[in-house]
Amino acid sequence: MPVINLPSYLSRKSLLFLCLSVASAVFFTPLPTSASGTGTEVLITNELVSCSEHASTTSFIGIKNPEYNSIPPDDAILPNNSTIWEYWNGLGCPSTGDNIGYYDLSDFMSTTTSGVYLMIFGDNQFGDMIEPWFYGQFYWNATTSEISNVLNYSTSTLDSSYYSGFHSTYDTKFTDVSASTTAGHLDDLYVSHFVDPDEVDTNLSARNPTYIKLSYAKQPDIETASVFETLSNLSGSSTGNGVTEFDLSSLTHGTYDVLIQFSNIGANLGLSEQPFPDAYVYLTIDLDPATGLSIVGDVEYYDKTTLPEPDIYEDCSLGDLTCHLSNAGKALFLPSQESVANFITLQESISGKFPFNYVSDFKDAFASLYTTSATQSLTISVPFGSFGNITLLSADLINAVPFASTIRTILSYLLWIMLTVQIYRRTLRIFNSQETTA
Amino acid sequence: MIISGFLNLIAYLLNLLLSLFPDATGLPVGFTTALDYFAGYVGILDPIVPLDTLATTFALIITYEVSIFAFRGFRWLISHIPFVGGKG
Repeated sequence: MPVINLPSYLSRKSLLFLCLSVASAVFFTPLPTSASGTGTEVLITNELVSCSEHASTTSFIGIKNPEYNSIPPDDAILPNNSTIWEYWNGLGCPSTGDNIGYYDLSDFMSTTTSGVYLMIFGDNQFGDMIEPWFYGQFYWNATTSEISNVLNYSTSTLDSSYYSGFHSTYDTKFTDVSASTTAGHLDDLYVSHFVDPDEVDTNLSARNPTYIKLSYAKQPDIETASVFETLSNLSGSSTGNGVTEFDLSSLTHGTYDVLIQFSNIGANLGLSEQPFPDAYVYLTIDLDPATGLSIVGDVEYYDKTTLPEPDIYEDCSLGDLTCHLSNAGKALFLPSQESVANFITLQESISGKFPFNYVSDFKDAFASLYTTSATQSLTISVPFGSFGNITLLSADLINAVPFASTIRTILSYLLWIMLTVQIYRRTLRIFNSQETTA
Repeated sequence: MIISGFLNLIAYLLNLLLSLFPDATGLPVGFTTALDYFAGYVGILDPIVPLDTLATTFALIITYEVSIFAFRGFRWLISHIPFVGGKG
């Protein structure tokens, strides 16, 4: 094997240092900015959408609500501003240069100073989203009516975790349906549900359940009607566990097919998406004025707490041997989701068993130190004769230290430098020991 | 089917083994109290000492050392596989 003699300035140490420096530079460099702020406008560049790729008289870019697929685009969203804007502004493509244009926000911002989370999509007005989309934040100063600190911009594709992740699974679901046994309410139906607060976004119809919709059809008819009740009208609140009560005493005697779903005013009017559409309940009830309401047969609960089993098998024609062999191979060797999920539940079981629970409990206890205020505080004082107690150390004394924040910042920088040096020297030692053994 | 059955068998055996251990949640009260005291005592230094940075750098060093340890363990394991590790 030929031996390559590196020049002295390209020793292993210097190469290692160079590699670490480049890695640090890459690691700490902010994401490329694809938009910037000036005055009241957001400047959008063609890092987001290529004009040459999408240039046409109907090609536009603007702020768009990703949960809606309106044609033409007529909606936009700034979630933290608590407003869904019905606004669309075509910016067009310039003939030269990288900039697509300025998007003026001055007429649409609120009168209060706030941080704004922004998502911008391209749309060709034929129902197609133009990838990539990008998201970021900026700060709206209501006093000066200007935006500032456009930051954290990043591009992504439409199948990003935010967009498709929500639609793939969610924990919000119906948990129980039962007939009332309370005297005077025998025609009532109790619907229990769980609404995950992390999945609720009051600015997105698909994530904003405010009503429970009960649709029914009297057998053998197929004509349906619906009644709405406010979410958790019996107990609970808008998120978490709750129970909604339906009074069905106005229905005539008979057997009914019933479907229960989450809803809101927009979904009721057909103007916006139904919240959590894959969480619903199907059941059959019997209404008798003499005995009240009773549930007939099993109640079928549907939710989207787990990913649906993908259809991995191909539709094979009768003589397609290769296709059948492929399906047989998949059936034999591909693990099912259930068999993999067993290990996830196993992990949860381990955390509930002694002594393994100490690991997870210790982690939780340590994490809670950051979120809860301590009940104990250190104070050291000594009796000093007729002068009484003199406090040597207390929170008030620490807070009174001059330049405390400056000292803290300097110490913080020192810690990071020490960490870098430590890791650098440790890595160097590893490489050196390997050189020695080689 | 074969892989699923194999995974199900492993999961079943592990669950069986796990059922031998008693159920338990929560740390001993003395420990959590001690942790609370510790946080309260050290917490007053936070205006001067960047405790969050200290914890982060400490966690990074531990992660780094654990990674090296795992890497070395993996190499040791490979070296003891007949033929593959060169000791056949």
